[in-house]
Parts: sequence; structure tokens; C-alpha cells
Amino acid sequence: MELEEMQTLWADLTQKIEKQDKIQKELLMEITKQKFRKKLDGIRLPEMIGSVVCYIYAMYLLSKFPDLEIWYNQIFAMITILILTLLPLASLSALKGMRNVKIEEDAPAKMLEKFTKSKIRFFNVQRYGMIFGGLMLITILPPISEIQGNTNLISKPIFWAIYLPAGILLMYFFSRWALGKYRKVIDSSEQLLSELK
Amino acid sequence: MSKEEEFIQLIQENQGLIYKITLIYSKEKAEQDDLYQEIVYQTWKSFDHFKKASKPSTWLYRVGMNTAITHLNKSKKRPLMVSMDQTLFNYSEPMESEKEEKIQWLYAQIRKLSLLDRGIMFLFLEGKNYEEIGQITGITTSNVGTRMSRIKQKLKSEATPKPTKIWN
Repeated sequence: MELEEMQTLWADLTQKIEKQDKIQKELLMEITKQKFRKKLDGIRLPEMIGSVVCYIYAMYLLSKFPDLEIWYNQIFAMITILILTLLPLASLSALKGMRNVKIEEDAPAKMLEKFTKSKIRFFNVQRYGMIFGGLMLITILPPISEIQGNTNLISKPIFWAIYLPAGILLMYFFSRWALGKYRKVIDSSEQLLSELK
Repeated sequence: MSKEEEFIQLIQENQGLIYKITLIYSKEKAEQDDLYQEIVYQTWKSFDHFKKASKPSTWLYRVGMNTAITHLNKSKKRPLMVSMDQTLFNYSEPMESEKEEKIQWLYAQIRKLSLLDRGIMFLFLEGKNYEEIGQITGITTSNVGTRMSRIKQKLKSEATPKPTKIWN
């Protein structure tokens, strides 16, 4: 089929579509209102709740930091506080970048590029989030045990002999599973970017 | 005229355009309806920009295409919220079967193109020249030309639709 024939077909289709009844005013506003309500509830709330929980834990650890006497627990607590503070910030900022593409202003080529880049960034943040989240599995327990006065447990070599390999193993499998998922999304996004060139 | 009335008028005047965007960016009926609703929502959300736009048609093409691109990029399908069966996409006069077949083939070929090329092809079929396509999509006129040649090559390499034989 030649392009001219395609254009003629398209013109026929356009003519046919123009003949259809106008969409009802009430339905149009109903669509708009329902979409608006859904958008507000969708992503923002779980992200915000997650961040608040992280900050509460970070503040708790920070307030109890002077009580920690064991040197490695101090290091673990610092690492945990850093992860709990920086990870939600990075995640929220990446999400904001994805949501901030200007559908009404940017040309499709520019918007597609921005959206794909911010999508890659978002998934990269999620990817590192998985790794640091796994690391936190190891770092959060010992200082919490000391704060709660249960140092007997963490002072036992058997605890570390079980907890450390189990934590690392869990972190490894969980990250591998999650990274596999994210890799696919990032690859398809990069493919989109390459199509723009 | 109130903002709501202006918006309703804009959508009613351009519902065919929005519908055609949904056809080239999605295959399933439910997806098309969902995309239609998303474009309507995005148009309402950014309606103040429309009033400032120097070329309203360019603006609407952009919003429609951008929404379709971002909508398709979202992995999760959202459920259809408002049934549009009574009002839209119900044609009383069916097309001749051969023409209908050709149109279906045309959609299928366009949907094989990349997201941006789909938009370029759509604008070309809408009768826009290369300069206008460039203005709407945000690429240079020469780039539009290059992409159109590639699209032509791709479409030529595909077999034209064969008429379906009906056996008794």
C-alpha cells in the first residue's frame, strides 16, 4: 500500500469519526473528576508514609546514639541512619522527576527523552535502594539490641554466625530477584532513548 | 463562557482527533478507552496552558501524543473507570469490509513503529507537512524527512493486506 492510499484511507476514517455523536457533557466531567481523584490518591500517599516511617526510625536511632557503647554498633547505627535518611530522599526526588514531565509544554521528542531518562534514574534509585535495604538488614539489629538492653544476644558469636550469613544470603537473593526485574525496565527505557537518535 | 464550558467545547470539537491517537497507540478497546480518558484528564489539568498557547491545535496534538507515550510507558494497566460504551466508538454505519480490513492493516503497521515515529506517521496522515510535524514533535524538519523515508521503507517492506477468502 502506498502512502497516498494510506492518506485516503485515513481521510475516510476521519470523515466517519467526525459523524459520530458528541461525547456527553456530564460523562466528560465525570471522567475528568474520577481521574483527578485517582491521581491524587495513587502514588503520593504510600511514598510519603514510607518516608515518614524511615525518618521516625532515623530520629529514634539518632536520639539513642549517645547510649551506644560498643564501637561497631555506633558504626552500624550511623550507616542505618544514613540509609534511612538518604534513601527516601533519593526515591522521592526520582519519583518527582518522573511525575514532572511537562505533558502540556514539551514537544513529544523532548518529553519522551526527559521521561525515559527520569524513568531510568527512578529505577536505578530503586535498584540501589534494594542493595542498601539489604545492607540495613545487617546494620539495624545490633544497635537496636544494645539500645533495648539485650546485648547478650549480639555478644554471642553464634548469633553472628547465624545472623550474618542469613542476612547476606537474604540480601543476595532479594537483590538478585529485584535487580532482574529492574534491568528489564531499564533496558527497554534505554532502547526508547536510542530510538530518538 | 466558563472554563468548564470552554473545555467541553474543546473536547467535543476534537474528540475525533483524540480517538485517532488512541487507535494508533493502543490495540485493545479497554486500553483505548482508558487512554481516551487519560488524554481528557490531562487536557483538563493543563487547560490554562491551552488558553496561552499560540497554536491551540499544536498544543492539543502535543498533549495527546505525550499522554499516549507516558501512558504506554507505565507498566501497570489501570482499570477502566467510566464506561464509555453508550457514547463513543459505536459506529452506526459500518465500513465496507475491504476498506475496514485495510484500515486494520494500517493501524497494525503504524503500531509496529517506535513511539515517536508513530506520532510522526499520525501527523503525516493528518495532512501535516514536514515543517508542521517538526513543530509539533520537537524535531527538525530534516529529521522529520529522514524519519519519514525510514517509515516509508519499513511500510513498503511489509506485505500489503491480502483480501480474505470466504469459503462456503
